[in-house]
Amino acid sequence: MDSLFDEWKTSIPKYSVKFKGLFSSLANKYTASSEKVVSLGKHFELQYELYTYAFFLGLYSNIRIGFGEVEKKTDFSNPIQTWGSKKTTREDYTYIREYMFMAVVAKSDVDFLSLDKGEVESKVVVNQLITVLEEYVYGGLTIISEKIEDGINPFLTNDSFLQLLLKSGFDKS
Amino acid sequence: MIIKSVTLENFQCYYDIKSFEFSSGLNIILGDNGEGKTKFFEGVVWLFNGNRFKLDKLVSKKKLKEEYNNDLFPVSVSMSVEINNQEYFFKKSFYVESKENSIITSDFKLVCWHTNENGERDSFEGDTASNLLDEVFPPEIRRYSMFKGEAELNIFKSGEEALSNLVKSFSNAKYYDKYCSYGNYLRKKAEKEVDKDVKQSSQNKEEFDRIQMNIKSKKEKLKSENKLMSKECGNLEQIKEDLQDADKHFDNAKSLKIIKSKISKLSEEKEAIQRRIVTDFTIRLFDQRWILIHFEKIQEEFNAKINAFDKDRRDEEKRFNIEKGKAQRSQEILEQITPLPVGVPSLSHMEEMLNEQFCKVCNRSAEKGSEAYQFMEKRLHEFINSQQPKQVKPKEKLFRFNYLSKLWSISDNSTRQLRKIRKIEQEIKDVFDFNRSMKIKLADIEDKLNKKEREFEKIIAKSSAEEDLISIYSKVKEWKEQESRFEMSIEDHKRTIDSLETKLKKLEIEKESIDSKDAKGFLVETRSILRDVEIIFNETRERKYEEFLQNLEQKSNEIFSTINVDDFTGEIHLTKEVIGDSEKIKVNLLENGNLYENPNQSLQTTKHMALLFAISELASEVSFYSSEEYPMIFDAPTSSFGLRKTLDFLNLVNSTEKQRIIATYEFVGRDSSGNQEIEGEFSNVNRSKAFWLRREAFDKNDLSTINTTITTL
Repeated sequence: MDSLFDEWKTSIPKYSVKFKGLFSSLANKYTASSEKVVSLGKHFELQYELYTYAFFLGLYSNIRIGFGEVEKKTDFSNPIQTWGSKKTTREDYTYIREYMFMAVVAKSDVDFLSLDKGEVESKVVVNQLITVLEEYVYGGLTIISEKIEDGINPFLTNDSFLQLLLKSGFDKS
Repeated sequence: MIIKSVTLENFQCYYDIKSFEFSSGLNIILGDNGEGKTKFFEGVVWLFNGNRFKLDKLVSKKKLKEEYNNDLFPVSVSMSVEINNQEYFFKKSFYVESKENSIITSDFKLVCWHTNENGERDSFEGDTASNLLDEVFPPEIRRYSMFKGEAELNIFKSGEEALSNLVKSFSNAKYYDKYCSYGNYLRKKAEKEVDKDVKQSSQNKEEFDRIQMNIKSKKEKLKSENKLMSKECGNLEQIKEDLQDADKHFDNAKSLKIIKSKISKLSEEKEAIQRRIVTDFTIRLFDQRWILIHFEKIQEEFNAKINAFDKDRRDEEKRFNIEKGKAQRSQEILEQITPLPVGVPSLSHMEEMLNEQFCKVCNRSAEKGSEAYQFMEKRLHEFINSQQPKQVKPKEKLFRFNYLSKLWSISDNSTRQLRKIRKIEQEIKDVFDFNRSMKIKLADIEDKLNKKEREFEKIIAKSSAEEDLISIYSKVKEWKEQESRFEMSIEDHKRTIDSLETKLKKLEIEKESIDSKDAKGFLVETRSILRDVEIIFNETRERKYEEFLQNLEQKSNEIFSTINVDDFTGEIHLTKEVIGDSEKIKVNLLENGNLYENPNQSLQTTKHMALLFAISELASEVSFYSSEEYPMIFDAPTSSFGLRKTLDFLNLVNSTEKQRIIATYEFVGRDSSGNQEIEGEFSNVNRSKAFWLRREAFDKNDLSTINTTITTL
């Protein structure tokens, strides 16, 4: 098959347990109507949506942070291949997986010639790519939590997360 | 005269000391319902006319609570006025003690401080102060200067009393009253003398007595009929007014219905717009790909990387193939001569030649171990191997996997999708623009909705409660029946009066004929002269009445044409009506000489205002202080006007440059958080001064928390 993407998307990426509070305050564990979500202060209908958002925020802001050596990690048990599948009230956005994959490939140091030559195992490369993903997510989640720690909750309006993404530093760099 | 200031101290909702500093010209007091406009008006009325009853009802509940079981505290209303360059300060006050379960109030005291033009100051108390108050602002002028609500503006509603008061106050006709009564006395005296003389000398004494008795009885009947008719006319008028009021309520109910339907339509529009406003921005990040807004650079990076690897791979592969090709070619070059096919010579020939150690192809000896022997041996093995089943040798490859090619196809596919990413920025901009336009529409609708809700509240505020409305509905039928009963009865009275008057006239002619026959000539002559004198006095007084009314009508129309905000082109017409033994003034509107039926409430109010302003001018002409103008105070006089008309009206009042103090609930609106605010339109009202009354935050279940504050705008 020789598809790195197909291997990569079966992974379940992780995040630092220190961000668990962010996930419980900003994202629902279960699907709800959009109106209800905002009124409850939960902007994201699903936890992996916040995860995905954090990835792109970290990516565009060029903030990539590795896990500490003894840092505890956690996940929400959904492999990437399940993200964005069609739900009743929502559009299918499975395209997102491929874009995330492209981004981590672009930002990784993997030697794909060695991979094709068989000098490196694909499993090793997939782990490298997942690490890149997790590092940008770490960066994005750090940006969000710093905003909240500043005092006034900046995420009170419906467009706060969009605005934050629009202002993210990438396009200005 | 101008009112320079009014201070209320612990008076009703005015806790502690609150002052209004007025200026000449138009002073406007703004305040929503219940904020203290009417309490201000009541304070001024109490200063002028208040008696000593129920003083405890005038005390600020907040102050009362605060001073519970403490010392005495004062309640007062004071006013500073200027007239003829002299200043007067009047203060009416009493003291209150709040004890357990009881409120003890002292008697009130009126004090006046007078400062003359030289700055000398005197103080007066009691009756002297009270007389000074009446001298400075005479009660008959106050009567036409202070009005609470729109209904009170119709001063002629109460009939003859209003007319006699008006005439008594401002018309020269009042000087003829004493002559008229003296003329009446003389005429009666002369009648008596003639009658006495006729009785003494008449040969037909019995006939004369009969006629005289008859005249007396007819006159009494006529008087009683007139009285009855006048009473019934009064009742009829009252019923007509009640029916008109009921109509007004019906109108209010009708307006209410229209406004309610407009409010519901606007609310629906508001909801529809609110639904259209995009709020699911976070969802759109995913569902509409907006999250890829900055992805193009990452895409480029990815493509560049994959292309570079792909190129490297191809280069390496090419080099590898070249190297491999080179090795094969050099071997071929080395060998140059084309060998015989495998199996030539045959297996048996080869074995024979090897056994004999002689090459029969080259025809030379080939000893074991020699090069020729080894060659033959190799050829034999080649043949034997060629007969074995063939084992394919794996092809030598540099790249064992093809991951890059899959990555390349991802790169290729996603590059085709770039168009979608490039459109995201515009899509987001379009949504924000759409939201902005929707929010403008929403603000417009909310503004309209607020205005309609205010109109709704105002109608409710000026209408009777719903239950009253129901009771009016049920009474209307009864009133209509009474109306027709009274109309028929009045017609009967008119017929009886006509018949009595005819009979009376006939009897008087009979009596006159006896008088002229039997009474002494000089007595009849004297009576005749005195009758004429009485007529002259009455007619003169009547003419003065007419002149006064004409003057009032003319002044009213001058003012009416200035302040008429409805562009009504007609005029006010004053007529004196004599019904039975009573007189009253009817104020009608004429258009092209014809009666203007059913003018709307705001036109009625404008009419009444014009009349009141005219009376105010007349008052200044007959003032104790010559040509002194007096202030006028109105509490909510324009309830039926609505904001636009009130604005025009106030501007016109302002242009008269006379001191008018007008309290209104117009121009007080609510902002988006529901807090009170002065509406922008108020900046278009020309005025000398304006005040805004607001209650401090209070508990609606606890009156002791109420405190009105005054902000000078």
